[in-house]
Amino acid sequence: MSIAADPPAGEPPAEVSGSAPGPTRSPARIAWARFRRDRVGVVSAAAVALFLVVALLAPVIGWIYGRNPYTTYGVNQGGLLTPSGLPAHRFGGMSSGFWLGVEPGLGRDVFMQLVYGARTSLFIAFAVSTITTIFGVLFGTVAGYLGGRVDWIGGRIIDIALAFPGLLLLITMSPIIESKFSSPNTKLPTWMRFAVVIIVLSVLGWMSSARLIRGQVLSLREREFIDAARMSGASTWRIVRRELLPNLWSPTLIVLSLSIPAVITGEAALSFLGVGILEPIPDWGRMVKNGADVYSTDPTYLIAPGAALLILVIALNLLGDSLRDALDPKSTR
Amino acid sequence: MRHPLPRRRIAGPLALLCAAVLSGCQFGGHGASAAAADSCGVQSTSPTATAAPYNYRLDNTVNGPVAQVPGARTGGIVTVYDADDYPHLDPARIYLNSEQSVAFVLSRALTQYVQHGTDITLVGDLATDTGRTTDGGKNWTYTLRDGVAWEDGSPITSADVKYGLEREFVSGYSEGPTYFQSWIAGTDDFGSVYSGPYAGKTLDAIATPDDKTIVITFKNPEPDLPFDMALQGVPVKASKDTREAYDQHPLSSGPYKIASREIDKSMVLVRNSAWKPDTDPIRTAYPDQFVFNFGEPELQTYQRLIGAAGSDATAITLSDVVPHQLLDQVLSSPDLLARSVVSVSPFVNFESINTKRITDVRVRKALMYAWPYCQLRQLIGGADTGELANALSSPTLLGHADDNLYNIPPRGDPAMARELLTAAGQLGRTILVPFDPQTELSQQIVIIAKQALEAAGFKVVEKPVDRKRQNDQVGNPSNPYDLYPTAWSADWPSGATVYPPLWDGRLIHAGPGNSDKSFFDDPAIDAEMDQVKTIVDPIEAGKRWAQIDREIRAQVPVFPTIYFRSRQIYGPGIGGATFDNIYGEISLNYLYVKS
Repeated sequence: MSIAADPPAGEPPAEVSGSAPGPTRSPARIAWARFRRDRVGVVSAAAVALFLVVALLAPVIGWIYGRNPYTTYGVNQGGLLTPSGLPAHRFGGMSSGFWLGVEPGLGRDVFMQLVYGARTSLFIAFAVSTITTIFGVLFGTVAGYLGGRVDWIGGRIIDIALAFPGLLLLITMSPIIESKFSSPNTKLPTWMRFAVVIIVLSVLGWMSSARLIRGQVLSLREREFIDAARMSGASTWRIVRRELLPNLWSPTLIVLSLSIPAVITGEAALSFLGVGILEPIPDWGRMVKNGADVYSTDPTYLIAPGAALLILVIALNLLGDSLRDALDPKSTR
Repeated sequence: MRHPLPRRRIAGPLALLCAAVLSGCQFGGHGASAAAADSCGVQSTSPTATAAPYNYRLDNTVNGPVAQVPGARTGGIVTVYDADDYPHLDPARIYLNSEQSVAFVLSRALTQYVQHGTDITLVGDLATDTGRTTDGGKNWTYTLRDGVAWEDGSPITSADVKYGLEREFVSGYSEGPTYFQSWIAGTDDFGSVYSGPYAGKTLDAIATPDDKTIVITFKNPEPDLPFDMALQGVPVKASKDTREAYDQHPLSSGPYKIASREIDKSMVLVRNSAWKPDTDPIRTAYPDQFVFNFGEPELQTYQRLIGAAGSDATAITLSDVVPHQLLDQVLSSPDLLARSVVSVSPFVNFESINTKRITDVRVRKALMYAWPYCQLRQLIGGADTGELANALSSPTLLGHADDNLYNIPPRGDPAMARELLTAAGQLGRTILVPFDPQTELSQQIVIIAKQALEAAGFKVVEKPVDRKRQNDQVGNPSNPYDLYPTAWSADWPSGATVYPPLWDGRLIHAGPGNSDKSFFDDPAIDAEMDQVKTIVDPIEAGKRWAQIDREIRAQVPVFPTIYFRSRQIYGPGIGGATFDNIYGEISLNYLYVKS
C-alpha cells in the first residue's frame, strides 16, 4: 500500500498538499485505521488491556475468588505446606482453592500475589514512564530547539547520566536515604519505598527519550513551517507550543510505549536484587527471586510470575512497535 | 566479653538473620496441644529427633596412638567446599567454629576433645593430662608429652606454650577469646596488666621450671582452665613468629601443614611428617591431602555434593549446611540421608527483649506466649533445622536441663498473651522490631511474627535496618528496639561461657558491643553466678547453671526459641564422617577416602 507522508499536524489543513484522501481524515484517524489493520497490534493491545483491568479490579477479583494476597494460609492452616515449608501437594499446591498454588515458606495464595503484583508493576511502570517521558520531551525540546551551546551542554549531561552506575548507587544509597527520611521509631511508610524506586528508575531512565526527542526537534526546526512561523514574528514559546509540540505527539507516544516494558523489567530486577518493593506488598520481581531459590523442588512457583512478566512485557513491546508503525509509516520493518 | 552477637558463626545465614523459633515439639517440649494435622505436630524424619544425652568426661590416662576406625584407609584427597574462607588461622585470633575445625588438624593444644557421638571426653593433647591443681584451681600444672614436634622437626617446649599464651594478650589479636587473659589479670581490662611479648616483657604468672613443665598461677580459682586450654592453650615458637603473617601461615604442630594458600580462594593441606601418631591420642589423619575451595554459594555447593561427580565424590563442606530449599529433596532420598551428618549444634536461638524499654515482666511474658515458635521454624526449614527450645543452653551444654517452665503451645498462646497484656494495662502496646530489608527471609519472619503478636493485642512496627548495623545497634543499651533475635554458642560445654557473658548485669556498658542484648541486670543472679564459677566439679557446676537458667527465664529477659541443628552432606566416596559436637559441624577427624 502507498500512503502519503503525514502532513505536519500543527499546520492548518488548508496548507496540506492535495494528496490527502479526503478533507475529513485527520492524521489521528489515519493512524487508527492503520493500527486496526495490524493484527499483532490489536492482540497485544487486548493483552495489555487485560492486565490493566486485572490490576485495577484486583480487590474485586479477590472478593470473588475469596482470598487475599496477605493471609499466610499455609502457615495458619495445616496440610498446605510440608514441615519444611514447601507446598505439600503436586504442582506447587495448585487446587480449586488455590488456582496457582501456595507460596513456599509463607504459604500465601500465588494467584492473588500475581494479581496484586500486577498493580505494583503497572503502577510503577506508568509513574516512571510518565515522569521520564515528560522530562525527556522538555529536555529534548529545549536542547534541540535552542541548539548551539545549550544543546552541547545538554548532550554532555545526557552522556554523564548514561555513564552513572545507577544500580550500584541504588543498592548502596537506598538504606541511607530511608534512614535519613524516617524517624527511628516509626514504620517506614509504604509510599516511601515506592517513591524511592520511582525516583531511582526515573533518574536512570529519562536519557533515551530526551535524545530521541532532541533529534526530532533538530530536524523539525529546519522545516519550512517553523521558518514561516519565525518570520511571521511568533515568539519562541509560541513556536514550541503551537508548532513543535503537536508534531512531537507520535514520537512521544512511541517513547512512552517502549519505556513501560523496560521499566517493568527494571523494577523486577530491583526486587530481584533486594532493593525494590518490600514485603508484604506483592511484587513479581520478588516472586521470581524466591522462585529461583526453590526451583529444583517447586518449579511451579517460578512459572507463574515468570510467565506473567514475559507475556506483559512482550505484549507491551509489540504494542509499542505497532503504535510506531501506525504513527510513523516511514519506518518500515 | 567484647564480641558482639554469635561468638561463633553458624554456617549459613540462619543464626544471624533468622529470628526465631522455639521449643520442644519433640524435645519434651511445649506440650502436645498442636493439632495432629498441624505441620508443627509432624514428627521429624531426622534420626536424632529424640534427645541425646551428652556424656562429658575428663580422662587423664589417654595416650596415643588413637584406635583405628574400622575399614578406614590411609591416602586419598578430600576436597572441601566452603562459601567463605576462614578469616584467621593464627591461634591467638581464632574464634569462629570453622577456624577451630581447621586448626584442629594444624595445631595441637594442651588439651583437646575426643568425640564418639555424644560421648565427649576432654583429654591431654600436647600435655599428658587435662591439668593438675591442688588448690581448687588457682595453680595449674601441665607436663608435655615426649616426642611432640613442630613442622620443622624441633621439639615443642614449655617455652613455646608460654609464648603462645603470652601472645593472646597482644591488643592487635583481639579477635580471639579473652578468658585466659581476664583470669590472669583478675579483670576484664587485662591490657592494663600485660600487653603481650612484643613489648619485651614476659608473664610471671606462667612459669616453666623445665622444658616439659608449665605452671600457671591465677589470682582466683579458675576451675574451667582444662576446657579453655583446648581453645587457647596453643603453643607458638617465638623464633618462627611472623606476627601479622602468622595468620596466613601458622607453623604446624598437627598432622597436616599448609602447602599453599590463596586468601578467599583456596588452601591445600598436606601431611606433616614431623607429626608422630604415637604422641597423639586424638587425631586419625587418614587422607593425604585436604584441598579447600572458597567462594562458591551454599546452594551450588550442595548441588555439587548431591551430584557427586568426579572429585566431588570425595568432597565435603565444613561450614555450609543444607539450604532449606533442598531440605525436602535430601530428607526424601535414602541415599542422601545415608551420607549426611546431623546433630544439635551448640547454637541456641532466642529472642532478646529490651528490658530497658519493657520493664513490666507481664508484658515480656505476653511476648513469650504470643510468639509463633513453630510457624517460624516451618519457614526456615522445619523440624530438621532444630528442636523448639525450653532452656537457654544448648543440649550440648554440660548440665543442660530442658525443663518446661511455661508450657507454651508450639504455635504460641495468643489468648494467654492477651490476658497478661490486659492485666498489665498495656493492650495495644507498640513493639518495635528491626529487620534486614535486603534479606527475604528476614522480611518473611517479620510478617509471621507481626501477625502473631498483633493477634495477641500488640501493635508491631517493623523497622528496616542494615544487617551489619543491626548487630551494633541492638548491642547498645539506648537502642530504640523492643525485640530482636540473638544466637549464642558456648565456647566449651560449661555454663560459665553462656550465662555470665550474656546476663551478668555488671558487664553492661554504654555504647554498642554489649553481649547482654536484653540488658538484664539482677545483682542476686550476678552473685550466684560468681559462686558457681568457683565450683571445680563440672557435673555439680552444671546442675547449678541449670538452676540459674531457670531463674533467668522466670524474669523473661529473653525467651528461647530453637536449639539449632545442622545437617551436612558429604560425597559418597567419604567414610568415617562424624559430627563434631563442640564446633557444631562435620569433623575433619576420622574421615577417610574409600578405596
